[in-house]
Amino acid sequence: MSEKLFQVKNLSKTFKSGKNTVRAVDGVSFDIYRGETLSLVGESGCGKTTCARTLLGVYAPMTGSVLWLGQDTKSLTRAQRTDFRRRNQMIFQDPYASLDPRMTVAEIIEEGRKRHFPESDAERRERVEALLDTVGLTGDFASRFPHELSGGQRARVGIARALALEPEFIACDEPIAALDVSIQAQILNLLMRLQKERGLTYLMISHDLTMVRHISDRVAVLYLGSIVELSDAEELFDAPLHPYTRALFSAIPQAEPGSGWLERRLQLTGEIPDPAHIPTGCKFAPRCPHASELCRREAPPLSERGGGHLAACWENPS
Amino acid sequence: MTELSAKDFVIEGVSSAAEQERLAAKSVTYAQDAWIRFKRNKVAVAAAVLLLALALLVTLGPVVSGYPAVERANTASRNLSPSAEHWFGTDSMGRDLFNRVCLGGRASILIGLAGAGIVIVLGSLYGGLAALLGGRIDNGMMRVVDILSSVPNLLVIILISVVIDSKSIAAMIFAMTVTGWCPTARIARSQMLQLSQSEYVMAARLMDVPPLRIVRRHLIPNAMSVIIVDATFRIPGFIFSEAFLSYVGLGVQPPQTSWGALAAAAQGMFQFYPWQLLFPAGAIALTMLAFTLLGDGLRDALDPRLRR
Amino acid sequence: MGELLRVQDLRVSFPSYNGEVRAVRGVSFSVYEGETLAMVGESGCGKSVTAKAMLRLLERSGARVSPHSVVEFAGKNLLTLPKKELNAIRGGAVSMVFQDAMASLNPTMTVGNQLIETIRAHRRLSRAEAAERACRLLSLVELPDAPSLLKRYPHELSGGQRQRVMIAMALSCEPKLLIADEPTTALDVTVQAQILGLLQRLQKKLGMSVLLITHDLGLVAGVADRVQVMYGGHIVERGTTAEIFAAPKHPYTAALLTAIPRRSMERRGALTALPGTPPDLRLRLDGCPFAARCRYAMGVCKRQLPEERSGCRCWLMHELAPKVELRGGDADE
Repeated sequence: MSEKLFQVKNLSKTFKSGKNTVRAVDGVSFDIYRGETLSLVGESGCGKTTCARTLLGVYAPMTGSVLWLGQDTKSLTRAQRTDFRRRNQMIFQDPYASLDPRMTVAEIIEEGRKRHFPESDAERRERVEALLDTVGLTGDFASRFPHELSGGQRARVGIARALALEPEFIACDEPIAALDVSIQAQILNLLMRLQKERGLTYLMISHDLTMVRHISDRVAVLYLGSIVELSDAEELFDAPLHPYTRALFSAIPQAEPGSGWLERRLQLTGEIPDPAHIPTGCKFAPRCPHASELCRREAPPLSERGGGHLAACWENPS
Repeated sequence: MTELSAKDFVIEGVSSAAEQERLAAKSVTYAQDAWIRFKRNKVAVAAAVLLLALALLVTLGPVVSGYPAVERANTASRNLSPSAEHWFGTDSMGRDLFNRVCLGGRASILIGLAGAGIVIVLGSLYGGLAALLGGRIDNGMMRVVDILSSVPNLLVIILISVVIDSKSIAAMIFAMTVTGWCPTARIARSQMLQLSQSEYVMAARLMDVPPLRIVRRHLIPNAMSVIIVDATFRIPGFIFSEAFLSYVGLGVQPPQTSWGALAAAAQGMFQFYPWQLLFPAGAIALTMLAFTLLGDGLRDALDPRLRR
Repeated sequence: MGELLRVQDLRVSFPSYNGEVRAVRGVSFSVYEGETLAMVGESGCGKSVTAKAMLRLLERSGARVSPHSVVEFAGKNLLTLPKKELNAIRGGAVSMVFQDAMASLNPTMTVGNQLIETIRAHRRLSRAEAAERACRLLSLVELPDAPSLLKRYPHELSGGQRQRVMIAMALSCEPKLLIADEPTTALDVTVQAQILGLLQRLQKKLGMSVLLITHDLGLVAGVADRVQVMYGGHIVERGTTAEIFAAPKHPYTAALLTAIPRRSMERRGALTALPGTPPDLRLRLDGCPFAARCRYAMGVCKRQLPEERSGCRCWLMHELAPKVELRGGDADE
């Protein structure tokens, strides 16, 4: 088993909006191993984006801790923090909002590099060109502005920007959600190739379960800020244990006519409740077809079901 | 339609990258788009042209009119009506009024532009700093702005003018900008706060880019269009304040003149020689209107949400 | 099945300051009674513009529809109907549901008032009668507690609830044809499935036809009877859902199908991806709009737009063309 790059222990993050407090992330624990692709999936309000951002230190955690290579990120020295920033990067969802419209592609890519690598201008320029090539863009893109690029090209610039710092870990926040289907495949292939070539570790955040199934090693399913199930990707999709996971997966559109996925899916009652008013007990109980008194009273812990497969449910699913 | 033969059906495959580039959709620069939208707004363009003409006039006016910049009093031609010789007539000292209006315009417009320029710089820095530092410092800084803003603007200007006891243009500009930067600071801060939520700023933070660099490179350039539009709207206010001050005697003193001063000098004899008041007052009104319309046009052109 | 709607040679263009965007370049199709027809394509292919142009919803944005285009419904050409008659049909016999319910609902009016307004625009009913009908509509779209829902404002509802309200408004006059433009794109997966299921049930219950505009082939497989694939302002392939998925004839369709990771694929394997991007619709584009990205492009493809043969607008269908086994894009990006 490879080393643990990150250890998240009981992480919580709360936001206040007006008089509501929202527990976006509620006592989440998981590990990230070097070289793997761990995906966080879930629907709106599940906290997957907040989780990733808190992991990288965009938000300071409310409670709990994030250990990076064994060290608590709260207690990093200035120099260590700089190192942390260089080695852990992020790719964003909206290719239109994640690039500064007033900077050229070259300036965007080299901004991070300037901070961490003392190089001559010529060396830096070379690196930028090499990076453009790596992400499949030609050298003449260097002097262009974001508005001159298509969505797919902007996504590539975002990847190049992250790669410029030569990171070990990249959190990918819905990296292809805003792109057309035919472009999504291009970017996904790029990300997979880069991982293989550079031994990168990915934390993938996505609501696109088909994509997640294809590229992940392990998957964690979140609901209203808590992990309800965590397992190997293959196993999770073949044999999900938690009722929410099962309902979620059965709702994925299958591009196979005649599969009758719509008719045969597991139907849930109601919708995701307002994250500001989370029920006591198991958060999923109000919508769960198997909910019992115990479920409504006490939230089940995330427990081991064999082979690294964790699920948070009182029922022992048959 | 030409006849098709077998050679038309040989597979060639995907086009070259260059060809694909040619076919791919292009988009317009933000600046180009803004310019195009601005041009469409006939009123704003007219206002811009008018202002340009005004600027030319006040600079070159005396040359055009044929009268010297510093004119001696000429009692023989006092209070003449507008004629071919004196386009706007003459004032009570016999000086060509057109000339005087042009000279006065220099002071008025200079004050308007200088005032705007100063509040842009002061306001952006203050607001940007508050947005960047955040938390209690931001709070404190903005409370200072609130307190300064709650004092009526004109009152401040008058008080400072009296206190300083200097009637130079510089003094007036000082009086007008001493609290005049407050609204701009608010706008700058709110813009930059908004921008600091952008993903590209988050990306810069994640790359450990120093905060001051983020402000310089990301926040200020992107906030500038809003700040400039605001400043354009402030210019009429400055021009009017100057006119008002001069009207009550606290403004520009002879031999310098401004539109306000001209209006003040003419008000006593308004019933007999109305043009002496009408021309400078008209100039003030026209300039204020032009700047406002220009600001309107700029704001519509620069608003990214109205982009197509 | 009877023909409900017939679109013939629809051409729509938008003037823009750097050229005219020819968004739809000659689209013809029919919608039959009781069926669900899907229009599939990526952004910029013209599917949304087609749907909106059919109901003349683009007139304010300066769109120009060719005078030769015809959209025939119940014996009348919608494109040339006088406004009064068009308004009677729009929202009545033919209605539309859009992607973003929050943007389509008036945030300052209660749900009830908006429904009542829509109902009374098409039927002579008193307020009380319209209110009762609104209640029944909300139940029809499976929203619980209808009477109290009528008093709520759009922002108080969840995304799925808002979409149901939109559907209720669209159904208020028992349309024969419902046009749904990306109705579930903005929704969560489970909610999406709920809305789709609802649409299916409603269709059976009310015997109406649905024209579904989407980019998601999974949705198409789940609910559509027939499919039309659009690219560059043209329909490039059409057929039944089974035909399209099992044996696509057009290289673009084949590429779309292989771009989605499928259960059957090897996990973590490279996806077949199309190179390049969709074309600029300001350009005239002699020839097939897909030629630049097509691995099977031939000389004739770049010069002449192919005609439609056997439901596929592709030169590969021509007798002189080589026989090829369609694969998707290339394995490398």
